[in-house]
Amino acid sequence: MLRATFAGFSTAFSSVQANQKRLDIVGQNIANMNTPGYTRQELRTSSLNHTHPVSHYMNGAETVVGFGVHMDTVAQIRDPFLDSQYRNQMQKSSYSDSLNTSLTQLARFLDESDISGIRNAFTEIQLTLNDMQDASKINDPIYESELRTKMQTLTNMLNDADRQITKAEKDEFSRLDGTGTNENGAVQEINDILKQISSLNRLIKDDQVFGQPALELMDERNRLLDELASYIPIEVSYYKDAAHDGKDAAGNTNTQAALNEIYHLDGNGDPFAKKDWPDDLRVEMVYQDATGATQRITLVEGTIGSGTDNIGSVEISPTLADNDPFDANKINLTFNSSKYFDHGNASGAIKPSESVVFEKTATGITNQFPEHSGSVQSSLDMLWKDGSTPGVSDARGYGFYRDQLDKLAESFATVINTINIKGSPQVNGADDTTQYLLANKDDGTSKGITAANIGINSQWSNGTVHVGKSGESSNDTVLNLLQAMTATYPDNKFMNGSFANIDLNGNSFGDFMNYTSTILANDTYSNQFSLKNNVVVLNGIQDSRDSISGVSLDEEAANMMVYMSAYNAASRLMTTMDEALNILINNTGLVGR
Amino acid sequence: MDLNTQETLEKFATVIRELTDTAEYIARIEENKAIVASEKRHQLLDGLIQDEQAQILKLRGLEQRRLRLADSLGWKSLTFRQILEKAEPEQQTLLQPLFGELEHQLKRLENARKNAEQIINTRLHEMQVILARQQGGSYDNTGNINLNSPVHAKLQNKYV
Repeated sequence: MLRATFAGFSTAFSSVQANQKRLDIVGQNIANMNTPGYTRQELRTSSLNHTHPVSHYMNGAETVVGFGVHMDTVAQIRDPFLDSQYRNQMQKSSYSDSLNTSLTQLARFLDESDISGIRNAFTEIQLTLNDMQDASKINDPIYESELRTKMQTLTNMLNDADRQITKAEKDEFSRLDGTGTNENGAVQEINDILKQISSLNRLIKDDQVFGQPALELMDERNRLLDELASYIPIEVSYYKDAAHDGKDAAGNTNTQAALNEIYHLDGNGDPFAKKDWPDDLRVEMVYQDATGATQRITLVEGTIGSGTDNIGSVEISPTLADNDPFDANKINLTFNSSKYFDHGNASGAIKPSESVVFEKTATGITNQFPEHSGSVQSSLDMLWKDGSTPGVSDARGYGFYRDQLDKLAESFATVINTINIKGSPQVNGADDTTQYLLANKDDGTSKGITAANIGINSQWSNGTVHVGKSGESSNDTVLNLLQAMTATYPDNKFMNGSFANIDLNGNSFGDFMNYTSTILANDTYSNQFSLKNNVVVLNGIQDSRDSISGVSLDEEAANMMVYMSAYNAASRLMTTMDEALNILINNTGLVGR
Repeated sequence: MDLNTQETLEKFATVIRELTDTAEYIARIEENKAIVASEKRHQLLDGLIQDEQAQILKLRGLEQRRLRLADSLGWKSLTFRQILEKAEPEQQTLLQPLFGELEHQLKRLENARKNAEQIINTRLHEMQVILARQQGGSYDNTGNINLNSPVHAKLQNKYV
């Protein structure tokens, strides 16, 4: 049987159309090669042919030829594996970057390598005591006044360091919650991104249902997903909605109703074509519960429901204004899932929404993110982890450095006060416990001293209390104070073991400050190295992603030539068909003409 | 603490220090692996891997020694945290910073290892993509490359 007369023209025409479309796409790619977030596009095609004979009247020996090319869709060239790797690495880089900001802020006042700080204040006190040790100077009020001034300087520095830590904590909190500041915090950014992704999900699906690929909207959604990954650990998955996932209401996959969700069925119930229904996009946040088990909460669930039904949120409490005096341990983050979601469920089965609370309790942290996963985790680590949080892999946050300063302030006050009380005249045969030099400024006592409240005893300032002069020699107390400045703690021998319980990790007061600065410097150095490494790897993955999804001018130019050649060939095919037709019509069967 | 125990404790502390140094060295190799793989200088990977294998053998040897010494100090099968809880105050003062530094370096190693693994997986994936292109493989719906699919797997039947 003869082939349809104009079939070859259809083939050539489809080829001309497809190659013209390809050239248009090359133009679009080149035009957008510098557009942020743009993904390279390509035309997906397939061959048009018959799957089986369609006519009862065809010869058995029919040789079937295809009918040209079908333009399936204009698609983006993306690699989900690389997207996932990129977002994973983005979380790590963002964690290190955010941690670097926090540690740098701490280093401004705790790193004393370039500044005269607390370490220097201890040295000054030691020098003054050195001057005072001469018995003739003990009774000179000028020297005592100088000692008091030096002590005052030290206590002011400790107070200031504590204030700076509180300020750093508040700044960290502002990075989480931007309420009351002129910048959005992570919480506001996450909520904003979730809203945009949810809205884009609906727009993209609406477009795709009507055959529009919505590629630019998908670019925008991918960009938002990358950004979201810098805040929290996320997993992105694509799925068919409940009405098109190939499962019936009971979750079965082999029933007629289930098949009908995926295929067009003929009169006998046999599939004859696959339905083309767009995918939905789900965003889940990954976290670990108190037992360390990995859990997920759905933050965006495709296009389910209406309005904001498909979107989750994050809340933070209390706000900075309500949290006065600021206490980082009171902060809690609540992640709410989308109102509806059906992950892991049979089609149509909808669970009620759920919430996950991240908070610090007496027994540890309720839920937490996996290690190195986003800037929110970095902020929470800095705010919550103090090197001794039970049950968690611990980091050294603001709490650790405050504890170090508190330990230093309390130890120093205890040692100085104990020595002075022992060196002062006894009252009724007992130590006069009012003869302390350093006090808790909040209540004026020598109890509960921290870096925040350490100060000079007001009784010392007004002359009621003095540096002790009792003992075998009037300078015994000063000599003891001097020895206390150079002793290392715990010290089992000094003052008959009075300071055996003071633990400064085997350091003197001044060295303990150095020790703390060194810990901070090590943490900062280690994190900076980690940041550098993470960024190099991130750039490596970005290169890979660009090599697939980015526009390469060389590649587009080569494609342009290939498509133009194909266009020419298809046109030439038409001319050849025309010549063949001419022979058929004008030169066939007219013998001898 | 008797003299013998003191000596064993010193040896134990030395092994912990050496473990820390070796872990740091391996972490640095892993970090370099991540960097060279990111910058596509793959020819350097072989040398790094060989160096790393030697260090891993050293690490194993040190770990064996650590276990033997822990055993003789009465800390058999105990974690570092349990050892610190059980140790005397003087031993604690000696060991706490050493354990802290070792833990720190092991965390660094773990992070570096994950980074190196991630970028090497990415590069392997790239190679698979290139191979798939040459062999006419295709992606499935989840983005995984189906290397076994023949060229015609890309073709679809359309009804006309």
